[in-house]
Amino acid sequence: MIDFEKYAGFSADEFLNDDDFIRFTSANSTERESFIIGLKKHYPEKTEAIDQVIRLLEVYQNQNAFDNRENRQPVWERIEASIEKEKARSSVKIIRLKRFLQAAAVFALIFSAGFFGWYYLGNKEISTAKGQILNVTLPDGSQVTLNGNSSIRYHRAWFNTQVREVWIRGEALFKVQHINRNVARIKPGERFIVHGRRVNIEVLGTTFNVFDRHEKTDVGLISGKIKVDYLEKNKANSLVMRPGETVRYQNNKPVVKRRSISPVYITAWARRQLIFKDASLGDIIETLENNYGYKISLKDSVLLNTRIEGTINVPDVPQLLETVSSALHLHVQQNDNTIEITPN
Amino acid sequence: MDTNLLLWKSFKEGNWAAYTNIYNSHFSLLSNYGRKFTSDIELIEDAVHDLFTKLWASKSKLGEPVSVKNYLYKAFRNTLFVKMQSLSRFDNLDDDYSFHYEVGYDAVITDKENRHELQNRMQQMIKQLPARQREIVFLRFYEGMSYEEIADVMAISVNSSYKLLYKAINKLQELLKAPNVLVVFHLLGAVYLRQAQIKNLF
Repeated sequence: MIDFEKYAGFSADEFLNDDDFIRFTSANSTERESFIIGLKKHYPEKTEAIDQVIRLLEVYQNQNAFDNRENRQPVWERIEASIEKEKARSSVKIIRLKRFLQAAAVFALIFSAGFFGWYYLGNKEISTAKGQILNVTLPDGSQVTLNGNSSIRYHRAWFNTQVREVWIRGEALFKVQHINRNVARIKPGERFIVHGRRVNIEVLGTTFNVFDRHEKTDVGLISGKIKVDYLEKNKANSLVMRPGETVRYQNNKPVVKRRSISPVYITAWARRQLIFKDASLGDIIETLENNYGYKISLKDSVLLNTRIEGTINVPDVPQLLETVSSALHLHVQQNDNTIEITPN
Repeated sequence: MDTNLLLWKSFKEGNWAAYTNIYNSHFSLLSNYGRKFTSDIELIEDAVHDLFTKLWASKSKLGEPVSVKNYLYKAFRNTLFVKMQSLSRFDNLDDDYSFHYEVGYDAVITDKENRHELQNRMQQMIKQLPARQREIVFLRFYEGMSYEEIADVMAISVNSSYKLLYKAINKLQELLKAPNVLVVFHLLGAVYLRQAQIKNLF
């Protein structure tokens, strides 16, 4: 309960020196209004003084606040990943034992399964239609979310003793089953490699997104650690990525963006969300064509560079089109697979 | 008991939901506080990351603070300062850091007293204060902290926190010796006198 009695002899300046008063009237106080009303009711003769103090505080408190709300979740995911990693490190012995048992099982299989030879030779290919999103579990338990108009291919036979390899076209989000953390001592069975058309990604950790379409390849790392192998001036080169980084490989060279894009945006498609931040009409059209397979006709190509400021977050294409239409004052007409955009 | 303290107790026992809750209710506050020291948002996020990773790892060894918010502010400030120092942008952060103040015009409802002008004046004045004084004004009049809490966060004695705020208000008052002094700012002068009296007690 607030003790109003103590304010009996208070003048305006004394209010500002009172810790309780300061606490109740702070910028994020939830009790501010009820406190002020209560105080005024108690001391009607002090109303003017109280108002003066409050006005002074308000003038000061009305400053630009930085809440960084959009990164609250991504930063938390990083924290979770780091804590996870810490836990894994302390339980490394158990994993070793498990791995020994796994290896034993694998040897048993190899000796007894010669006649399954044919099986090992084949590749398995999984592809998605335009607009379709598919969750695939790889033989080792790793999860792949495949975006529309994309495909992955891997050896049908896939054991812990072999390098795990996946070839990808289009876009996919990988959550790789945890492997050895010590980069210096990776056994073949602990390696997991994703082959794009231009780059190879060696996985040393957990979650990352690959976008490999047209003339560019984007790799976005959400958590863990990956190594990206690529050619630069015809020489093999590689770089190790940290969480939150995005690497774009284009025109035969990589560009690293440090935490330029929040993971929320990179992985939005896997949650069937369409999220854009300060996107140009061109960016939006690219997504509609790439992932949903629409044919977009745009009468005025100058419009491609028009930006919609702020964040768009919608669950489906019709709502995206509606947002685009109203934000940019455009007429958007959809007929089955084609979308026509004309100035209003 | 304060909800945050209950959550803290629960977190110390390894309750993940409680920890998530503490994070969610303090992330924006810490971000705002961090933004006062640096415009490097990644650095702020890294500091939050390091702080919350470390807290979880050492949860069983942590005590029970008087206020969770206060504890986090203090620990976050330390973490951020160490990071800033390791970027070797500052030799001695004790007196050489910046503390940012920017008036938020967006939310201003222009009333008959022309608050806009008041805001401008406030900004001009605050900008002339040294960083430490700006920080104490922020912790006191924005965050609503007591002198004891401020002393704890800024790692100074309670006595010094009185003195520092007194200095800040003294400086603001000096800056006010301009012709069109507005009514509200007379108040600052009054506070200054009160501070002077308090100071004499020590």
